[in-house]
Amino acid sequence: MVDNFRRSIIANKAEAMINGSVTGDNGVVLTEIPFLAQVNIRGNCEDKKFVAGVKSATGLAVPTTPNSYVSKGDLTIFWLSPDEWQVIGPVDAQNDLVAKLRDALSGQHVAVIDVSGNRTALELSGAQARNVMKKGCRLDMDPQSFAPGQVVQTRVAKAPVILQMVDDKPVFRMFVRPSFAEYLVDWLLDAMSEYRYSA
Amino acid sequence: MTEKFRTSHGTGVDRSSVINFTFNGKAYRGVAGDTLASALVANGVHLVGRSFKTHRPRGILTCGSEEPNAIIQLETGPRSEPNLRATQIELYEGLIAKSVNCWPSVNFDVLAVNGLASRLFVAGFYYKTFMDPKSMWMTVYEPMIRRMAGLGVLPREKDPDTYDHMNEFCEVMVIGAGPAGLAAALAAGKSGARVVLCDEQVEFGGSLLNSKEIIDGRPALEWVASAVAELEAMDNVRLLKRANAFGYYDHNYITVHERRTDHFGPGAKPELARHRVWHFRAKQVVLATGSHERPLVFADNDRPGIMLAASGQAYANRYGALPGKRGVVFTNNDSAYRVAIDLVDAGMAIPMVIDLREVADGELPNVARQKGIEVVTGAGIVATEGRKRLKAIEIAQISSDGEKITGAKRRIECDTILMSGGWNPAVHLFSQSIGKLRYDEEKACFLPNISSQKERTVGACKGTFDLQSALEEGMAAGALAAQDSGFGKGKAPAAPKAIVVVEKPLKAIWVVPTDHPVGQGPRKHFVDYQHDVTAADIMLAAREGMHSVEHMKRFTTTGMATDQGKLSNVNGLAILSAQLGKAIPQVGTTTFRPPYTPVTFGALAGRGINGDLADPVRRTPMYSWHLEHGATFEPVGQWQRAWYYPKAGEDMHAAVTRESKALRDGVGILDASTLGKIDIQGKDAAQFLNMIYTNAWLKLPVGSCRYGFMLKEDGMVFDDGVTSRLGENHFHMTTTTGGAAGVLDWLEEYLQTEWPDLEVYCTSVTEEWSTLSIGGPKARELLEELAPEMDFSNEAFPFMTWREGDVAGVPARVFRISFTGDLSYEINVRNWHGLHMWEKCMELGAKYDITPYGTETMHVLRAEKGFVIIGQDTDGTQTPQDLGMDWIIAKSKADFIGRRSFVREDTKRSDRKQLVGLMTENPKEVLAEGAQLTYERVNPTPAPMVGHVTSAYWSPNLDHSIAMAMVKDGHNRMGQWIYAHDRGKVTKVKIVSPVFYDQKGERRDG
Repeated sequence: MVDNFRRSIIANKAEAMINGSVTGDNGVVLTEIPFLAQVNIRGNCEDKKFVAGVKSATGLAVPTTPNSYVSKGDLTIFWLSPDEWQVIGPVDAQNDLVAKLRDALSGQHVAVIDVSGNRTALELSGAQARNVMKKGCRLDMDPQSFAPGQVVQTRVAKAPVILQMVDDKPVFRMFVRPSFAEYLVDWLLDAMSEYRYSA
Repeated sequence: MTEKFRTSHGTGVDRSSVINFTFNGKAYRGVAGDTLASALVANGVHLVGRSFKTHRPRGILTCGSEEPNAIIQLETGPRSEPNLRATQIELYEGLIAKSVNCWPSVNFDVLAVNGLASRLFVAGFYYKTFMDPKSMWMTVYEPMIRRMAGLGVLPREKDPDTYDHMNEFCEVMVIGAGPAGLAAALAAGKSGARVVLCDEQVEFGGSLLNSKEIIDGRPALEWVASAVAELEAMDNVRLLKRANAFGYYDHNYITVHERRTDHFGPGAKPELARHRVWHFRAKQVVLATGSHERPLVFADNDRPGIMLAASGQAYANRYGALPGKRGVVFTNNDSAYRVAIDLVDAGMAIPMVIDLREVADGELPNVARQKGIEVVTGAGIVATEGRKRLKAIEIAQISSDGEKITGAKRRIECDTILMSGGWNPAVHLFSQSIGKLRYDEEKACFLPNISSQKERTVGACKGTFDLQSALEEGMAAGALAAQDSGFGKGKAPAAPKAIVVVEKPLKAIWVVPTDHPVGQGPRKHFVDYQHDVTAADIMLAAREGMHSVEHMKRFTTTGMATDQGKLSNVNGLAILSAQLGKAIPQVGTTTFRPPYTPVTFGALAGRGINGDLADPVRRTPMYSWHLEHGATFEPVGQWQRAWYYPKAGEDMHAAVTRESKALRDGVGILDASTLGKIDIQGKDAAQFLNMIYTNAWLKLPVGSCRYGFMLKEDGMVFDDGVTSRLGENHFHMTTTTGGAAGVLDWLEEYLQTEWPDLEVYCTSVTEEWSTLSIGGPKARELLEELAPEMDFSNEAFPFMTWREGDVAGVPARVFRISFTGDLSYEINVRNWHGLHMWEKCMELGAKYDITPYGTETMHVLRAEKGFVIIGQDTDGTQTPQDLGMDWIIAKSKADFIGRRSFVREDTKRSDRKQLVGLMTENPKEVLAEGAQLTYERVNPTPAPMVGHVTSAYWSPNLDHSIAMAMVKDGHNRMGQWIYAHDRGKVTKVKIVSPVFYDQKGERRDG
């Protein structure tokens, strides 16, 4: 069923993101990926029942390496802290995910919370994407330090984000709280402006 | 104007490419590759500024970032920039520059009269003169000193340029691209490590750009070109020119200021950030920052035409600009002979080298003699003549201890002195890194000694002044730095071969004598050119008890100008140590602090310089609606909340009055999405809340809500909010807007450190939920239309309960809670449904004349009911009892955070400041928030303050002004009249209950 009532908080920025993006070999493109399913899980990964429960619901073992993620099919699980993970799934998958997880983990000391509205996703891609990230993020963005399979909680400019290295084209995905989204889009478009001339 | 001093040489300029510019209102011509300083030298212009205190004429002294005299205001209008160094400004077509410190012009300076009164301007002059009366510090003295100093003018307009920052990580960071730095970068680059090489100059090459060295049998610049080409071909190497490393912090964190577009002229590249601050985090650092030539301190050593020797060499060799027609070299070391030789080769008359040493028999002095240059040893310049340009000098033999003149004076006409007092390694960054220095007697300078970070120093910065050794050190350090960062085997590539010239040691004579003792007679020995500090000032400071170098610095202001004493510090402390009869290492240096050279505020601000990007603006999902419907906004932390919604012709007062009445009479709607929200679950969740809040939580039924106070351990209220039981082990907590993050941290701290045995998880869901508060007597009717399947009767859905269901087609949680005292519902929907829900409420509410209201009306309505706002009515020093809310403390509970503090004498006192209401005698008069309160109208001084007004509004529903206040012993003083004071105005007010409206609470059920 299509949800006709939902609206992205940065729907007003769609055109600016198209105009501000630079296509081509030396470009950088900013887009929003709204309404993704996001489910936060708290639990004890040293408990085999917990790991098995998540696996049976998602097909994935929770990652235990700090700042890493695992993916299978259309589901991804981020490591967020020693007892916290976030499942990312396709649009409208949250109800099903929550139900399956709660069912698989029932009786355990866990928390399974639908946080699909708590953040929206921005994707920055293209040859100049890494340079744009370097302007706003104080972590090492070079490929030897930040590679596909890694996800970090950091800031881009002054917006707190969960930052996922999707692939080494490169594609960066920033999960940002909706209230910060317009600021972050404005900031990124401003930081991208020099590449509009050099592309 | 022709370039009279331009030669046909000049390795760094293109004489065929002419550039026109204006300096102090006069048009000149320069060529591509020139700096403003070199173009002025080529035009024979040396008078470029006036000194700080006495407004003496000053000339170009150096060719680099250490320049103290040629301080420039560049361009006009919004892009005008003060205090730039002419030696670093690259010439571009149409450049407009003027000197900063002169009025009305550099040639005729009114304040030069200060020079006649220069005896007044001794060390500590400002401290001694501008002390009393204190009231004149800011009003009279400071503006006067500023006008006299005239250090440039800031533009008033908004900066039209952009600035940015870049964060980079590397294995090896090499600072300085002279011979040693280039060698280090080459060696490190070959290992495959990420290497950064930065240099403040326009081109790489460092000192090689200015000299005529030979490397591998070819001009050194050819080796530089091939080294740069090799580096450019390496993908792992980043090269930054015009990039000044200005700060060296812990963990090899280095900041670099890159000037990206200034050389194209103002506004020429709008697409590029004008300046960029790079933040480098390096595993290993190689400092190859070179050295600064040291001036000699002799009588009247500041006349235009007196220049550092190697700078004169640079103007001739690199820019093809001769410093003068006829000059002398004045030195205490061999390096300046190279300058004499090069200048003679370039066509300048250099009849004489005056050497403070008794013997000058090194290779270079001998070559100079062969060129026909007279070498006078054991002698010094003891006087100079010429006001706006040097005209002549007097030299004399001086005693071997450097204390006095021993022979007859000899006068020589010349327009230029090229002086060299030896070399100071540029240890600034090393010292910023907390590296320890040592004093080297033979070289008479401070050298890096013990590193504090993963850093190596090479070349002249390490005191290695000969080229061959510098190249070898660079290669070795680059290879080792790479190895230590995990790349390569540490084997240095072979260094190229330079011609080795052995130089004899220098002789340090820190003050060259003249015919009067220093400080007497008319002649001045300048140490700090930019701040007009003389040797006599430093000696006076020592006599007046400033024995620490830090005291001397502050008393005399040595090294405190924009050049940060790059030229003056070592001379200054050497003079101080001689005066104190101590060795130089015993006196030590002042602290080196960032920035190494000035950095513009724009660069530091980065993208933040432009409007909204300075700080995040947080918006709710309904922000766009508020904006379209004319709301004014109020910042609440980073949030922009709708403040009020003025209709055409309404001011704030009218809008708030209308909104306040609309809610009490009909229905109002507020965007409350910013409230903090925390999901709390686990089998011990209720027990956890029972400890966090002061009231009882164990028996709260599922489906119900409860208001609670959180206290810190000291018993003081720090946050409040309504928490609802979603399930047996599941709660939804709300916090204040500003307290959301702090409360979650607080809960986590207690769970992780005090009660790790409790099975509870807390998760922030602040932005998962978007919150609409709908209140007023007609709220129920609207809700019934929005959610026909939900029963909103008092029986089915009583106050302080919540229900879940479909509202306007989307899943929602509805909480029946009230911050206005009227019937009220808070609808919570997923963030992305917030705007839809708002629009639906407005659509269906139209027939009830639904009125959107902002935070101001919310404040008025809650104040009418005496509801506190944490952070406005409280400041972290109020107990619940102080707020008149004893009822919220569960007496039966064994414990909760803050409980033990209630047995303290201080929290039990009856005369604590307590929350009360205030009514003004004049009903129309609204008190000032923050107004101080006294019991009496007339008070002794100091007045006994008994409290202050925390909230004050016009209440449209009461047709009376109302206020809340904290008053000492207020609960016992109900009905008494006290006095509010606002900047001289005294208002009589009556202490009343803070519940002004609907005291029986009859309205909340509609």
